[in-house]
Amino acid sequence: MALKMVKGSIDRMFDKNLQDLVRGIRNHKEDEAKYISQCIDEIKQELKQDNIAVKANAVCKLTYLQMLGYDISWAAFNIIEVMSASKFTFKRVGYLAASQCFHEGTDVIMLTTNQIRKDLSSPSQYDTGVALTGLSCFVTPDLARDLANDIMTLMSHTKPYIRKKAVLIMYKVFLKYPESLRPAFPRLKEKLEDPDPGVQSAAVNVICELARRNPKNYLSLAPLFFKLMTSSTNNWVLIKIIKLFGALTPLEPRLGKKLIEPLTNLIHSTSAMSLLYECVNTVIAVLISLSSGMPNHSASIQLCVQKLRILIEDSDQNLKYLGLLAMSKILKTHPKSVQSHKDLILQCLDDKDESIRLRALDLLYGMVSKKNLMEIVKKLMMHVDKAEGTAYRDELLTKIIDICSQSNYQHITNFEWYISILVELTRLEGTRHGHLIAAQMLDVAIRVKAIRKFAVSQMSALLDSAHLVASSTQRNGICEVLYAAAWICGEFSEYLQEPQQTLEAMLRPKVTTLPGHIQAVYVQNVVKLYAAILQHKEQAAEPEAAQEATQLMVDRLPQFVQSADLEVQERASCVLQLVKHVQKLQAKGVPVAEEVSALFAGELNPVAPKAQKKVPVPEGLDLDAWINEPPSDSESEDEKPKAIFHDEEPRRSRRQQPEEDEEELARRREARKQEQANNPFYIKSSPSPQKRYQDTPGVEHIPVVQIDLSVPLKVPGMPMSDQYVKLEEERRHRQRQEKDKKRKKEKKGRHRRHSSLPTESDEDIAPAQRVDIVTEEMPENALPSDEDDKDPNDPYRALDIDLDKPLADSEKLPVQKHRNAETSKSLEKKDAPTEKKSKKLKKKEKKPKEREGGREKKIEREKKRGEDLDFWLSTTPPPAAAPTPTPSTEELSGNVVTSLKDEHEGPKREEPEDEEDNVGHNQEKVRYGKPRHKKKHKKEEHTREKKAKRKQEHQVQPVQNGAAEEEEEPIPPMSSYCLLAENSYVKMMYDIQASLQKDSQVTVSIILENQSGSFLKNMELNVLDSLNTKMARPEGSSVHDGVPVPFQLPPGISNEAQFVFTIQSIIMAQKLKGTLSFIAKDDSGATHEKLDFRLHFSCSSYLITTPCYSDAFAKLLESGDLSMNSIRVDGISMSFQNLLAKICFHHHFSVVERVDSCASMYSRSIQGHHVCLLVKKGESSVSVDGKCSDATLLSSLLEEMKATLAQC
Amino acid sequence: MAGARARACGRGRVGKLRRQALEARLARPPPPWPQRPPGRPGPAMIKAILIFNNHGKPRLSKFYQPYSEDTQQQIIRETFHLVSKRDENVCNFLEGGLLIGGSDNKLIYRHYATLYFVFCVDSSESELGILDLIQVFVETLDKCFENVCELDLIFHVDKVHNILAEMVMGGMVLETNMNEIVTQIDAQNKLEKSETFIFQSPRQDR
Repeated sequence: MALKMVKGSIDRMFDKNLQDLVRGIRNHKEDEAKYISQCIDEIKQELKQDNIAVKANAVCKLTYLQMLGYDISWAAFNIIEVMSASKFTFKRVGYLAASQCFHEGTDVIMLTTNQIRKDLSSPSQYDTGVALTGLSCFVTPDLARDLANDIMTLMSHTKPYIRKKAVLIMYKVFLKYPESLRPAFPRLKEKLEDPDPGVQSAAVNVICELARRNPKNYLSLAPLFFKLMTSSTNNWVLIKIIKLFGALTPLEPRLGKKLIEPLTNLIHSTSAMSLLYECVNTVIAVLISLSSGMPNHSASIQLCVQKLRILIEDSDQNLKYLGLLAMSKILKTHPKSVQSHKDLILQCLDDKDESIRLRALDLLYGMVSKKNLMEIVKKLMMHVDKAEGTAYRDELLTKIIDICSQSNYQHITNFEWYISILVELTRLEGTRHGHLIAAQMLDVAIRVKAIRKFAVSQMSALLDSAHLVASSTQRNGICEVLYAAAWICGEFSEYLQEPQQTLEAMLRPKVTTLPGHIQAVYVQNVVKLYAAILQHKEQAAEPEAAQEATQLMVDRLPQFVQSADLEVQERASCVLQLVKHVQKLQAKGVPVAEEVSALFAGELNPVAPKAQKKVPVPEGLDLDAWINEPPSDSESEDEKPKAIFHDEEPRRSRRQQPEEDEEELARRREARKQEQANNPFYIKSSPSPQKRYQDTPGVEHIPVVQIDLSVPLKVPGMPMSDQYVKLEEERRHRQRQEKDKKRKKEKKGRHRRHSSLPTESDEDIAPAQRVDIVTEEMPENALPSDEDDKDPNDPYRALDIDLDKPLADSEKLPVQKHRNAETSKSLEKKDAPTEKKSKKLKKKEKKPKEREGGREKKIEREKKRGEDLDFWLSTTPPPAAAPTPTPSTEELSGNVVTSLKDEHEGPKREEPEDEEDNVGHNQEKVRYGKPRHKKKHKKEEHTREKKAKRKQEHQVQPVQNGAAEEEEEPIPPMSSYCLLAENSYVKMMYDIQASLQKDSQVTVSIILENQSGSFLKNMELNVLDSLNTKMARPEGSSVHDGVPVPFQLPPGISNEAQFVFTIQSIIMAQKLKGTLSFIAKDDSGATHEKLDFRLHFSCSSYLITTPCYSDAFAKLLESGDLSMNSIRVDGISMSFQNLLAKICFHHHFSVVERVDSCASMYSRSIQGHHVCLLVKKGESSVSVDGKCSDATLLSSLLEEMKATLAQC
Repeated sequence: MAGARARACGRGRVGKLRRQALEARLARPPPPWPQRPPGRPGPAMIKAILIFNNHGKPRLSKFYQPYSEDTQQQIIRETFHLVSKRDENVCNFLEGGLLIGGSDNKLIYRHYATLYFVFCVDSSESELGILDLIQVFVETLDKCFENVCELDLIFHVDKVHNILAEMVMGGMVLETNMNEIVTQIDAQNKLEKSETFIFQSPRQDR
């Protein structure tokens, strides 16, 4: 045995390791495949050995070969062997190989279940970790089912490293085994509040991903996420959550209303591009879901567009790209806001980066209006000429067509121009989109009746110059346009000026070189043309001319009869026989024109693409049932009408048009008539407005298009669209002039260009032609919409599970061992406010002297309320008219006093306040993106209205802290914001907030109020840093640089900016000198202004209101490591209650206990100093004894307190 | 806000980095690289992570969706074809990878000296976040290999996989804090070292 082991390791010494393999492959560049197959043979030998190290080495090499494209699934069993090695080194190799090559089809994968379970419960966290990582790549439904419970247990593992992996892999487990979602969800939700940020973000990640797929089931989590959003400092969590809200808002518009304000504030304040970008995206989603009903949402849109413009103008191509991408989302609902940035987007069209050009093209689609369409298309046409590479040029071509044809050609005012654009496009070399142009030509000619005459003239010119189009290469895509040209000339041959000439052009020998399907159309339409000529000549009594035409046909048709294309040959033979017959009749002098024309009688109406689909199946009709016994190979034509219509050109599916060949149509027309007559279920369409145009040659209501003779209609090969642009401008100009004069009522639109068209605004430019766009026919009782059938194979569909229902016993996860007690916890839904509230209330319970009465009831009531998402949503304060804070105290006081009285009535008062507090709390946090721990400070708010309400809570809160039972006199309003500096332009108020999480950082919120009539911009705040206190500046800027204020101030507006300062020592108060510089711009010009200030960092601002229980407080005092100090202030007239409130508010203390006119108070600094106070009130004096872990801090604090109390 | 938020998630202008003279080395941490808060999550769904060199030779391929080996090679080839023809100073996002995932997906890549790092991700993910993630990946490699270069990736693809496994798990971002990643990798290496006496130093083949 020992010998064997020695032998094994000796063998190993001679084996190649991974590095040798790589080196070998690099040295055998010429015969790499041969070398590798040699190596694989060696590997196979190694795998046969018993030594696990050798096997692991072999598997490691296989993993490398897998990357090079070699199938290694044959070694799956060996991989499992290596996975089960006891050593971590080998185990890791095995799991890596498995993750690279195992998939659901791997049959040996079921062998791994027990091994993985063993590894998951291994005492070594890395064994567990490596198993989780591997499993995440190859988890199958079976593995998911068998291991779900083990993984769920790991979600509560002691090590965060395991917890976060377990949380993350749950997503894969859910996907493979949806039944596990409901049992595991409570624990997953718990992990949202895990102390480890990594675990927390993994949980956010998983839930966000779940919610993105099935948002409606997660709506009830909205309050929780809202809370997370407001409490998280992690931008990546924020991005996730903000993205999630983007998915939730379409389902719940009220949520959008709640979000819009915090989000817009974030947009204003953040400087992180990724966060900004996601906020803008979500605001867009919100606005789309709201669409209307938000009074000030145009401001939000403007903000988004403005920010996006900044992105697009950035030199960083990535930002430019993303800006354009987000812009296109706004475009869908708010095209007007985007249109104003046309210049920028057109500029992006010239960008060297194709990704950006394509994005810009997408945007153009929505930017066009009647006014600028011609201009934009002209620009695009120039790009078409310049573009290198057919791919981009084709893209341009399709975009031009898309832009012009969008929403039923609504932006086209002049179809002559459009037809000439299409004709110009036919001159493109080597485009693949000939069929697209052809489809457009057909569509326009059919649906815009007024343009037919012009279209026909253009098409005949095109046919005349067909040799140019078709010359280059046979299979050139562009010759497809001839198909359209031939059809249009044939179908609307009555408009042709010189039909004979066109007839000749279509019968040229050269035509036989065209593709078969085009020749077929030629043949068919030659007959139509011929019929028209006959009719014309007979009416004009020129039988000779008619006979000439017949002769021409008889002479030329045989070339088609010889065609190799069956379709062409067949049609040509038929037609030839027909014409020969006509010739005979003509020789006898019989008039034949009527009969020949009758072949093509009837108007062709466009049919909507989905018309057939939308016909509801009549009751009792089973379409699947066989009428007769099934024939051998039948297919149901009815289900796929498209297949018939598009058999020649399946790609032309943009719009369904009757462009099919005539014979087929005639046949079908007949068949249809028959069917209509017989079929009781047929839904008859409303009578077509136009019947048989042959019968009514000069139909009154079709406006006659008068061709302006200045347009060289007959010169092929000349770009004409430019002239149309000019003409159109003139026309519009004339229109405008005429409108300015007194307008006379005329029959409008009959004569284009010379008619005055009343009742149009400048915005709404009247089209040159009275555009009579024939709408596509739909069956009358068509079903309103076709639902987008969800893909039944969508893996996320299985996860569409209601998570709010309580868990049933049958839903437990399959377990091998005993179920963890925690998992059986009922799935009672709790929303964030509920939890928060109940926690809060619990804390209060411990506080002495709390009201006892009715508390139980209150908790119940609040819980019930919190459970209701509706309630959470409905508590949204009304959207602010202008989201700008105005901290003017005078204005507030009036409100406060009146509302205070209401609030102070009875025990009811706590309730609304709590609620309001929560909302305010959340919003405030969102707004600044940072948690703030001093509730009182959170309430400096955006609107006057809200402010007023909140203000009163400032006072109520301390009252509560004091836990007074007696009725008190109202407390005067307090604001923690104090004046920083003021001049004629701007007033600055500031407040300093500390946060427990950052022990050396405070945030200074400065409210800037524009007091002037000028527009303030380019505001920059700079301070002179001291050794101890420094302002946090953006990376890369020096200590002398100012920090830009992220907004501008229109006159009379105020907004809040936040600046972060780092502080080393907090035991002394500090003053920093600073300057606000800005540009004030008014009508007379812009001036550069400055405002100096002194920023006072009081020691109180480093304190954080921290509740403390009396027992803990007593212990603290007993500990004896606190130094002591005291002050005494005389001449106090204020009530003790209010006094305490003031200390609580301004110095961030909380009342621990209060007995008569004596109270103990507690607070904590951001660096963890404990501060304890004993406040005693005498007749007209107050004495404060303080104890603190730092003597200097205490004396500074007491000094500050003295100043506060002196004012009382 | 110029403070906390910017530092938390400033999308560092690492784009400039790649143009710096780093012929032999792949990356060095940019001087003012912001310290990330621990455990920020990234995109949930990464379809594939590919590393190949300027000639399209694969240096690492990690697919989070099952594909056959042939398809994988095709995807690598197609991706290389798409990415390599782009100029240096164009945007790092690319649509239109046909093989992998279709319209919902995007290729987000960075080019460092001789190597392309390509992430194929869901369209719902934060594009800028992924760019940052790639940077973290490269910096982590740089730290673990001490001045990483293409040869490190060639000879130690298994180690690169192990590092990646600490960052991305099953297509979801696990950890983006470089220090945390490096700590875990070091701990595992130590464990490995204690297990085997024939331990191969990663520098041995340089």
